[in-house]
Amino acid sequence: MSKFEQLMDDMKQALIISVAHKKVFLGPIIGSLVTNLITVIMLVILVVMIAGGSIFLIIDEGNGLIPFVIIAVIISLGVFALITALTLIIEVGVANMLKSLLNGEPIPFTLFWDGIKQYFLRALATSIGFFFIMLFVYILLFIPILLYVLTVGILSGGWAMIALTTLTQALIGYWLLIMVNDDCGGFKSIGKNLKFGSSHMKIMMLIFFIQMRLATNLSGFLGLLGLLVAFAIVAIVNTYMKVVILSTYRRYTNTSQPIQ
Amino acid sequence: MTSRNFNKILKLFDYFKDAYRINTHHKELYRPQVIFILLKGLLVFITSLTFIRIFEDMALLPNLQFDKFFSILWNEFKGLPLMMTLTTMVVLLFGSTFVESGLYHMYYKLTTHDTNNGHFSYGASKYFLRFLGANLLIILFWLLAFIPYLIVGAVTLTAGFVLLPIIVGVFLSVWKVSMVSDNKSISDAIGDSMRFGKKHFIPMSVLLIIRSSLTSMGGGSSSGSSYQYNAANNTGTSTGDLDLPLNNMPNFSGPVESLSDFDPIGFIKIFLIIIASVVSIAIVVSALVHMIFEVFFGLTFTVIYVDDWALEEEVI
Repeated sequence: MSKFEQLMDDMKQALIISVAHKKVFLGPIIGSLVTNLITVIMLVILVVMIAGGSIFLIIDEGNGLIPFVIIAVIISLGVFALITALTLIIEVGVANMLKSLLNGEPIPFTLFWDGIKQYFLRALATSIGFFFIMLFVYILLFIPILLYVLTVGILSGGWAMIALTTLTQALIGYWLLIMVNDDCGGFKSIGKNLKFGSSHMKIMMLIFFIQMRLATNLSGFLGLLGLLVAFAIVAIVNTYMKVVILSTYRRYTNTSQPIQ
Repeated sequence: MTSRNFNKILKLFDYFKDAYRINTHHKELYRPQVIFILLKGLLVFITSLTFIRIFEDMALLPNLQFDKFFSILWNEFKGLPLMMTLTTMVVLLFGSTFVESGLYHMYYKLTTHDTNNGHFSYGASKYFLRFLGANLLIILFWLLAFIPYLIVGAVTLTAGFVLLPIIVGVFLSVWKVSMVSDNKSISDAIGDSMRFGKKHFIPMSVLLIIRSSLTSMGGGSSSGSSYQYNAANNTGTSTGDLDLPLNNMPNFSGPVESLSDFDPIGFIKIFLIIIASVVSIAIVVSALVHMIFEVFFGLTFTVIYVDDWALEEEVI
């Protein structure tokens, strides 16, 4: 059986168990709602401040633009850190539930909290370290990436950008799931992700392509109403695809049997 | 959703496997499309080149004078550019239908393991006119439905703009397979497709949403299941003689010695030629990517139609 056919089997089984255990979607939906609300509130505050003119008052009182920019950067970083922490909390909690789900065990909601208690700090520390590593990598690769975007990206009508995004996700996009599944250290899980992603590149790229397209486009089918429920649709698609990713990872690493 | 519909959705994954298996074992499915896509790219490029003359004349206008603007535009357009635009549109319409009719014949023969007359040209010559007639009927339907479509779209807070084509698509998605399977007439095939869509409405909707989600990015479609012509296809003109701007390129034999030697029109021309080349390549590459999806989903529709979504086992 080809890898594509195995993926279809995994996607089918993932759909069956996801529908049978709908509670795994609850955490991601709430998390997605909260992070979206924070983003919307920050944007509203910004718009109100610009429209009301108070932002310019702050600039004047703060003796010019530079102190204001510093404050703005600190606030932005603070919001970014808050959203990242919230996302990580949800991710590790859900990953712990999914691990039990794929082991064929019952998934009480306490597993969500257990996952947070057990893996959150590890995930946070790894995320901070990984953030700076990736920042360094992106600075190093900035010119090649820019050239790629301006040449191959345009000539392919945007498909090369999708390929680059899915390649990146295939290589480093699910280390957190691996960390929880294998109960290993953060950077070790990144290493495992890189190794697994490079040896099963095509199928992982396909999985992330499907995830990206479904998460991006499904809410569009509901028109303007889709804007209101996009957070839930994205959360549901991403959680379902996490089941698929974990099943695929387990299938090819023999860490446990694929889902039955 | 009923468990029966859910089981049909689950069976979609098995149909994807079947479509993939046929796809990987029969690379000849791609040959007609690749040839058509290359032809399409070439036509788009040539048509774009014929438009450059218009841009050149527009750039020479001292001010934005609308009376001159439109008269010059029409004078320039009614020669070669108009001819090339029409040629491109006709080739795209007929070519895509020709390719499609041959391909669906191949899909059906491969799905049913029937080796008799399974080649592309047999299907294309046998079904081309009927495919063309049905495609024109569908275009006519959409033209007539355009105003109601706009109203429904607005009333449903834009949801109708996306959902209506999908609902219509559910009823019209298997007429091509139906036609090639039993050598049906246009009306019989469309009627059969509507019956099939009604019978399997929910799972067919899911399949169409999946297809639409995966392939919705811009760029040219490879063959003609839809008639969405890329904006770049609608370029193309000149005054009638075949003096393509390539013949009027600025002379780069020596360095520019002073500002008086600088020819802005020449640079605009080169810029436009580069843009035309880039757009043509982007259309070809996008269409090649779309082709993979079109073959895959075309085979999926065929496999589903042949199997009639029969459920052997109820999972839930």
